[in-house]
Amino acid sequence: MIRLLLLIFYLSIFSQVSYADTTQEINISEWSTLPIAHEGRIKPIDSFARLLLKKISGRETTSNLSASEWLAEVIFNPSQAMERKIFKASLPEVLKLEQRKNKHYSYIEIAVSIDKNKEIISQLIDAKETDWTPDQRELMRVFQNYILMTQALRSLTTILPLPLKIPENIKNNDGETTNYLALKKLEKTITERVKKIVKQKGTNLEKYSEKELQIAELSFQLKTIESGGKNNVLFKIYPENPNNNDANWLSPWEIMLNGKGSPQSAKFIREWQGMALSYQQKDGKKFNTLVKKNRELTQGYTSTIKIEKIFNYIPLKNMATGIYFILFLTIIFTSLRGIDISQYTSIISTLFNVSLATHLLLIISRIFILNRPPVGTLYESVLFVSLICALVMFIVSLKQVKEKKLTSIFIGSLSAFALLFISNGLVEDNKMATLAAVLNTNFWLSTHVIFITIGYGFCLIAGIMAHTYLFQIVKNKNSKKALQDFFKTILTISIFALLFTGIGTILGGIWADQSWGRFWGWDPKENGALLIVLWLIWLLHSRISGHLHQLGFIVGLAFINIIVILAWFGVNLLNVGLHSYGFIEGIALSIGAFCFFEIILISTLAIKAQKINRAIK
Amino acid sequence: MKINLILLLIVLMAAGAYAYGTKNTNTPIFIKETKKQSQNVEDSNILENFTYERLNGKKAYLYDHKGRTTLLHFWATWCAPCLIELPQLVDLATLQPNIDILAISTDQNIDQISRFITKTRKVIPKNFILITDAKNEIAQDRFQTVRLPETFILTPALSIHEKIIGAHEEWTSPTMLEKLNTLSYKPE
Repeated sequence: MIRLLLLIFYLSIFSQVSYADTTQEINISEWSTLPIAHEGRIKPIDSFARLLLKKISGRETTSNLSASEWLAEVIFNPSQAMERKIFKASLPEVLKLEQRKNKHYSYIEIAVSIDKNKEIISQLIDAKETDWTPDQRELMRVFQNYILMTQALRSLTTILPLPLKIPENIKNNDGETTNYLALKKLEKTITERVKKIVKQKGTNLEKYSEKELQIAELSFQLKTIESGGKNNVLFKIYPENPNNNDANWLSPWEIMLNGKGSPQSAKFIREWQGMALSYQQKDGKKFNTLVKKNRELTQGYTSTIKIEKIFNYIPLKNMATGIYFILFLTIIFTSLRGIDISQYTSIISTLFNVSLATHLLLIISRIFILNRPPVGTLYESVLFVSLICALVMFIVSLKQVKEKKLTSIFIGSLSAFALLFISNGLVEDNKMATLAAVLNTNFWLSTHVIFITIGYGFCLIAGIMAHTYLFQIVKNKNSKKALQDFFKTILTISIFALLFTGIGTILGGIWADQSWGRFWGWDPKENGALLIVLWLIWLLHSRISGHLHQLGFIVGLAFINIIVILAWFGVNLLNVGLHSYGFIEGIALSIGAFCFFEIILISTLAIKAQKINRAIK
Repeated sequence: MKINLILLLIVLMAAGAYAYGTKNTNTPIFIKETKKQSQNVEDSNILENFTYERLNGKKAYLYDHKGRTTLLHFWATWCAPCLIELPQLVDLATLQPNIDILAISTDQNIDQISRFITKTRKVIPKNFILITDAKNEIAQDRFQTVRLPETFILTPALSIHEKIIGAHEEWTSPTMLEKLNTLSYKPE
C-alpha cells in the first residue's frame, strides 16, 4: 500500500503549473507526426498513441480526446491523465473494482485494485501462463496494461516541472525550472546536506527545521523520480545518430541513465522540456514552434510518417470490406428473390472496381509504410490473399460483365469480404507488427511467401468457384454451355493455383536451405504446402487423363478450401515446427466448425448434383 | 461509361467525406521536407563554441583548441572511478603534447580540485587544462552528462569523434596513442 501511495504521490507531483496567456491553439495533430521508435520500427506518435490506447482501453479514442491528445496529456500532464477513466476491465469483480456500466476505470482506481490483488498477481507471475484461468488471464491483462501505463506516465519525468522550491543557499541558477535535471545538478550538495542533518538530528523528521525538511524532501524526490525512470524505455523519441538509417532510438530516461547524452541530445531534450512546459501553460505558439524545431532533427523520417498518419485517419480496410459486403448481399438477395439485375451490371462492376482499388491502396500503403512485402504476419497474409481473390475475379469479370453476368463479382466480393472479416479476428493490438528476424529478409519474403500466398488465393478462389458450380448444377439454372465455360475458367484458375503453390513450395525449400541449412524438414507447414500441391496435381492429372469426370474434379476442388485453411491457419495451432511465428490462440474451434460445415455442404451438394446429372443423362 | 464515372466520383467523394468527417478532424498537413543534402556528417557534428573557466579564474573558449585533437573529460573529486582515471589522463597529456585535455570538474569546491591534482602528479603539462564547472553548465546543460566520468574525443575540427562512458583505464596504451595520433594527422 505504501508503494502504491508513493507511486500516486510521485506522479501527482508533476501537476499543472499556472497558465500563460495564449493566442494560438496547441497543434497536437502536428505534434503527433513526430517520429517514435516502437516495436522495431519508426512510426508517427499518432500510431503509437492509437496502439497504446487501444491496448489499454480497447478503443482508439477516449470519450472526448483523440489518441494523440490523450497521449499528450499522459506524458505532459500525468497527474491529470491518471484520473481519466480509460482502463477497460471486463471483469470488475475479479479485480475487486466497483461495478460500472461502461467498465472503464482510471489509473488510480486500477492502481488500488492491483494493490489489493498483489499476492495473486505475484503467484500468477510464477505460474505457467497456460495454467491461468480466464479470470486470472483478465487480471494479468489489466496488470500488464497498468505497467505499460505507468511507463507512459513516467516517460518525461526527467524534464517535467516539479512544484518544489529549492532553498536559496543551495540554488545554482535563478530562473531555472525545477525538475529532475535541475535537482540532479545539486545531487552532491543535497546528499551532503542530508548526511549532515541525519548526523546531527537523526532520522526523526519532527526534529527537523523547515529548511531541513525542504532539503530532505528534495533528496527523496530525486531518488523517487530516478528509481521510477529506471528501465523506462517505452517512449523512444531520440535517434542517437539521426544521419544513420539504423540509428539507435532512445527514451529520455535512457539518454540520462545510460550515458547517451551529447550536445545534440541536450538540445533535443530542451525542446521537449519546452513543449511540456508550454503544453502545461497552454502556450500554443511556443509549443508549435518547438514541435517544428524538433522535427528538424528527425526530418529524414518525415515523409513515411506523415503518410502513415494520413492512413491512420482513412479506414481503407473498412471501406473495402463494406463495399464488398454490400455487393455480395445485393447479388445474393436479388438472385434468391429471382430479381433480374443484369441492367445494373455496369454499376455493380464499377462499385466492385472501387472496392478493389481501395483494397489495393490499403496493401500498397502498408508496403510503403512497413517498407517490406505485405505478407509477414498471418493477419497480413489474410489481407493479401483477399486482394488476390478479388483481383483474380476482377480479371474474370472483365469478360463476364460484357455478357451481363455477375458470378465473378459475386465470388470476388464474397471471398474478399469473408477474408477481410476473418482478419479482424486475427489482429489483437498491432496491425503493423514487426517480423521475426528470419522473416524480415525482403528477398525471401518477396519470393517464397508471396508466391505461396498468391497460390493460396488462387486455391481459395478455385474452391469457391467449385462450390458455385455445384450450386448452379443443383439449382439447374444455367445452360450446359454456360456451365462448360464456367468449368473451363475453374480449370484455368486451378492450374494457376498449382503453378504458384508449386513454385512457392520449392522457393520455400531454397529459403529453408539458406536459413536453416536444409531444403526439406517435414515441418507441419511444409507438409501442408506439399499437401495442397499434391492434391492439385492429383486432381488435374486425373481430369486430364480422364480418370476423373467433370463433377468429380469439381467436388475434389471444392475440398481444396479445407486443405488450404488447415495448411494456412491450422498448422499454426500446433505451435510446433519452425513456422510457429504466426501462432494464434482460439481459432481451433472456428477451423473445426469450418471443416465440418464444408464436408457436410460439399457432400450434400455433390450427392444432389450427381442425382441431377444422372437424371439428365 | 458516363454513369460509371459519376458513380466512381460519388463513391470517392463519399469515402473522402467519411474519412475527413470522422471525430478526429485535425487533418494532417503535408509539409514538403527534403532530406538533408549529402552533408558531411563530421561537419554537422562540430560543436558550438562555449566559454570555460580555468582553475585560476581565467576564461577561455573551446574554439581556442581548433586544429588540435581535444579530449573533454568530465569528472569530480567525489567520483571514485574518476580518481583512478585522471592521473592516466595527465600522463597521456605528457606523452602526447599535440593533443589538449580539458578536464572539466563539476566540484563545488575549487580547492578540492587543486588539492587532488597536486597530490596525484607533481608536474601538470600545459596541454592538461583543469576547468571548473560548479554549476554543471557545461557537463549537464551542454553535454547532458549526468553520470561521471565521461570523455568526448574531439577531432581537430572539434566534432565528436567518440564518446567514452565510464572510466577508461588504458589512456596511455599504444592503441589509444595510435588512435589519437591518427586523428591528429587525419586530413579533414
